[in-house]
Amino acid sequence: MSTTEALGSPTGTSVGLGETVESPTRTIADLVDQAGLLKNRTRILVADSNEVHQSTEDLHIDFLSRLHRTLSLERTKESLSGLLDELSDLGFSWREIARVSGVSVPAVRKWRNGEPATGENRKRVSMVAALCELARNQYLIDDVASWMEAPLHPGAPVTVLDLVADDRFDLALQLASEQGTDPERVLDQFDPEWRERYTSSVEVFTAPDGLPGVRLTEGST
Amino acid sequence: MNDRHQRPPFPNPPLALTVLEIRYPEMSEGIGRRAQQHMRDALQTWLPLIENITEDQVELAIGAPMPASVQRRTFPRFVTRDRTTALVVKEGALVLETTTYEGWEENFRPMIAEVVRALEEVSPPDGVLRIGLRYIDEIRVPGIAEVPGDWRGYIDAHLLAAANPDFIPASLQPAVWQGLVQYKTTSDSTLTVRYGPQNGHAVNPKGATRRKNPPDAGPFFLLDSDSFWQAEDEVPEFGADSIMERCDKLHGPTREFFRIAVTDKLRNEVFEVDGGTQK
Repeated sequence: MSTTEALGSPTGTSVGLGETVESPTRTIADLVDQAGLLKNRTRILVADSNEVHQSTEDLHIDFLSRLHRTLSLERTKESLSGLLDELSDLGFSWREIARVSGVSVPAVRKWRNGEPATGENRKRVSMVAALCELARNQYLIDDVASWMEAPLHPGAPVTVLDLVADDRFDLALQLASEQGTDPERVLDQFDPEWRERYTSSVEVFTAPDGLPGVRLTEGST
Repeated sequence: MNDRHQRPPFPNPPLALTVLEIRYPEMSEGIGRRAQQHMRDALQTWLPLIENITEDQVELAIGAPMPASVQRRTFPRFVTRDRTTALVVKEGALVLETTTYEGWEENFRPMIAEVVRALEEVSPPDGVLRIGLRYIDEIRVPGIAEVPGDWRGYIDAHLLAAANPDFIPASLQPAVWQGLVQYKTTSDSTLTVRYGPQNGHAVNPKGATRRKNPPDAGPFFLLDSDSFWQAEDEVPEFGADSIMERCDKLHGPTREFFRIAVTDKLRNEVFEVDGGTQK
């Protein structure tokens, strides 16, 4: 119930005008409507804040990708063997380096011995090196190799290396920049069906003799 | 002067709604089920029915990637059998309102006293922040069928100054207007009056608090008197006697303004005529 709405809303001003009259004694409808209004306002606020949050996140990821691209370009100027040694010094095995570079282990060995790589391969190695550099210097991840090798989620064996091998540097950067972020969100973007894909049909249990055993989970037979 | 001549009950009352609101520091748990039952017993004479109103409280963390949580809670609404009078008690305020006001001393004041005593007994709030007593009149006069209408002779001329043709030129035709004035009635209480010609209803005729035989929508003169006291420096204790004392002080100015605003002609030709414009 309102006794002032009949006049319509006034012409807006660029400066806030102070309320000259205190809010009136409320009726029951005011008291209950206020709850409804607050609820609706809150819903709008939730939607708005989520939208703002999403926009900020998009901007942040966009910025990280640009930063990564710039740094990768810089690093392509360095010698390929130097980049490979750097990755090896960080703790990556040659097998892992070959995998994220999209080539075989013998190919990596040839590069180390000075044989030339294609422009695409050189670019890829420099992108991995740039990612490691950002993770260490920008986001203070000391042991980058261990970080990239660790599974993101107990329910799925996906690692940052898998993301990189699949060309999802954006997701790897997101994880690096927001340590503590929910890895399920990243996994959802990487593979929307990861939950079904990695659901195990077996479980470990303690047998009556006290020793661990393996059995099929309920519903998997 | 006898209150009966200044305020309803009139045979044809203009009063659409009378409201008392008491705000107090939020009670963390509201009033529990047991307290509700005690309140119901205490108010059995006045408000024998109890209903629950459900309210959803939404909690959110801005920017957090999680959905807002919704907590549902209920609070009681005590009503008369004809649903024209209702009381709602929430964590931070209680509101008692009626569309069938039968006089301050005769009916509304004793009801307030009963409500306040019951709450003080079963679940006393920590203090009192604000007390407001509000009368909303919809004055309808037969023959005034168009907005804004000619209210001269019915409403005191001083309140019609904004539309007085003696000094408002014909090029400025009042369509809708509303006056608003605040008077200090004591050092810590105020009377706010909103007045002016309106159309439709000021009080929803289909609201949860039922209006008996509501008039058809049409032009009316609004007289909305809101007399309130507000705690400024200290928050006094929630005590029935002191609250009733304040209520009495708040009632006086509303009665006074009503007496000033309406003319004898309006009183005699409209309010005192049984049936009148009211169905």
